[in-house]
Amino acid sequence: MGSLMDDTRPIFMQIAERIENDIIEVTLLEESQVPSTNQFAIFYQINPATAAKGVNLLVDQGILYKKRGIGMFVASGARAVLMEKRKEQFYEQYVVTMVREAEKLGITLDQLTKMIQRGDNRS
Amino acid sequence: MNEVVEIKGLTKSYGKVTVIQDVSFSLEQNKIYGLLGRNGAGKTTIMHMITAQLFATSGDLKVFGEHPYENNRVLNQICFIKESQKYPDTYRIIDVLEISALFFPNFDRDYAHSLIKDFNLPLKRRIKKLSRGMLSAVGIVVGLASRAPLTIFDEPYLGLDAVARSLFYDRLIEDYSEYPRTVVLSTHLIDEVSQLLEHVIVIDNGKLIINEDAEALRGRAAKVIGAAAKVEDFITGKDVISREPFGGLLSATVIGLSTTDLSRAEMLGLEISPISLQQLIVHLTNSRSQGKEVAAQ
Amino acid sequence: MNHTAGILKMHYKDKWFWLFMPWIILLSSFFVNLVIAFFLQEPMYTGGLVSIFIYMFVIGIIILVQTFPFALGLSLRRTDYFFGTSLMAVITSAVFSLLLFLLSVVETKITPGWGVQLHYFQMPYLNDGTVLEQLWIYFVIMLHMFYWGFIISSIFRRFGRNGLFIFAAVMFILYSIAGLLMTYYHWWVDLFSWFASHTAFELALWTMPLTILYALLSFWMLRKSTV
Repeated sequence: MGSLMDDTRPIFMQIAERIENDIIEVTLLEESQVPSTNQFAIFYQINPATAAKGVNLLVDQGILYKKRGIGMFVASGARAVLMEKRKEQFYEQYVVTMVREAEKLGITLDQLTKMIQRGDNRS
Repeated sequence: MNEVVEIKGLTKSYGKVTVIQDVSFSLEQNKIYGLLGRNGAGKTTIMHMITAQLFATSGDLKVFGEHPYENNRVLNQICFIKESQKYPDTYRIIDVLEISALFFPNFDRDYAHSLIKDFNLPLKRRIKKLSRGMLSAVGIVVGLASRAPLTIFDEPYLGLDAVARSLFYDRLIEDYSEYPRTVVLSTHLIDEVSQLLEHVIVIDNGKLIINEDAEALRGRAAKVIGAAAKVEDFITGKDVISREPFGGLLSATVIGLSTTDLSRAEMLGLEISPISLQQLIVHLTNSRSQGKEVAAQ
Repeated sequence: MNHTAGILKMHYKDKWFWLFMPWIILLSSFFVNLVIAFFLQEPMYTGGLVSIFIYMFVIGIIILVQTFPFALGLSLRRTDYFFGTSLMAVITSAVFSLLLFLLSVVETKITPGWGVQLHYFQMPYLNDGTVLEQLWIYFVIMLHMFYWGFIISSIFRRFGRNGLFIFAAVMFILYSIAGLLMTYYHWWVDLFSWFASHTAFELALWTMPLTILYALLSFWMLRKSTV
């Protein structure tokens, strides 16, 4: 079945990531309403409890907040918080791994910096 | 009361053959469960006992807090849709719907008819003349429209194509969101339903081998690939569920790796790839039954 | 809703099986006899009436095969199934008895022998009693036939094919022994004179304990039957 989810990782985390991406890419504006957990569940064909868990993860982090009887909204300042978090992740995921791999291949820090500049020019 | 089904030490034997052996688990209210396992593992037998259509040889069984046998307080709340369901020869689809409406207290006629349209079912056609897929769709319609507090689907989609199966999952999630109930999906096609499940129960050779939250199982197991000696070193003392040598390499599936394990694997230069829920269960049910065969020799 | 009434409705959905088929069989046999009687010059007696009683036996066998697994699949109790089905058999037998009686009235009072001296519904001996007695005879025999079929089907459901074979074998042996004993002690004549000394109504009454026994045993077996 053409699934949108990756079954090797917890789905609630993937739901949270998708909402985060939407906020970072400004598809979801701050102070705008987020789809309900049931809407998420139906759209992604996943269990509603799992969808709720993903949304609640973001509520706990203050990215989303509940308006009683209305639904979930994106908190103001959420985007800045997420950007900061992602930058940290970027460092862990890409920079650290890159430096380690460079060491393995005998690339000096100077050479590495030049390679990054070259990559920047190309894009 | 949150426990909809409580099973303790359930055992079913036919003469000397034990088909269900000391199975215990409970089902909570308003969750979607997957009862998974290979064909012939004993899933259908367990569901038949929960619905009092078969009798247990020993063990304790409670459904909605009571024994289900000849108990209308319990039976009225159960809808069990099975692949092998028999219908009277002369019945048409509409007859099945009307009779179901008589016996399931929450049955929603309008919803049933909208499902009939969704699945393109010929209302006036005799059940006997339906294709395998249509027959499955009739079961799905009754199962969904009955809105029973405990709804059990046993391999409900035999003969249904991908579009119809997807339609079933869509309708199930939609209706469940609006009318929460306890749903049990029993199947050997794990991949398709795994995302719908909140909790997973795996039966293999009549025994319970997994009873866990679906999310907790995802990412729980990983495949470790690398030079055989290094992999062997890494996996000693760990819960290894399968190993496949490949030239000088070894690929082992391991359950429950911690973050320290992961960084150690990285240091050793081993490749780690997480496996899906489906793969995990396939590994578990394969390895255990193979192990049995070896032991029997 | 009440489940016994629900099961009644479930059976009634199959009007062909319960209502139309037995009468199509009975009436087509009747019309064939009518044609024959038309060409025959003398009064004609036929046993065609038996078909509807045999049909009740067939219903007893088939109904369980057709509807019991379906009823269990609908989360129904075996007890409710038994009583609902029994009620259906009682109502059917009662309606059929009334229809048979009305036809016998037509045959004797309104159109003597259907105009062709055919005795189809009005039988000597069988229809000797009062109106109530005649109705009762039909009713009791039909119900007996139904439960006879029903118990055979129940044995099959409860004990499977082997159970039915064993039952048949045991019955065969019992009847053989009984037959031998009857011959040995010269009881046959006594038996026939006993039959002859009783009216059809009295004999019909004698089926009742057996009918009740069949019903009770069927109930007992169904309670322990599985899918």
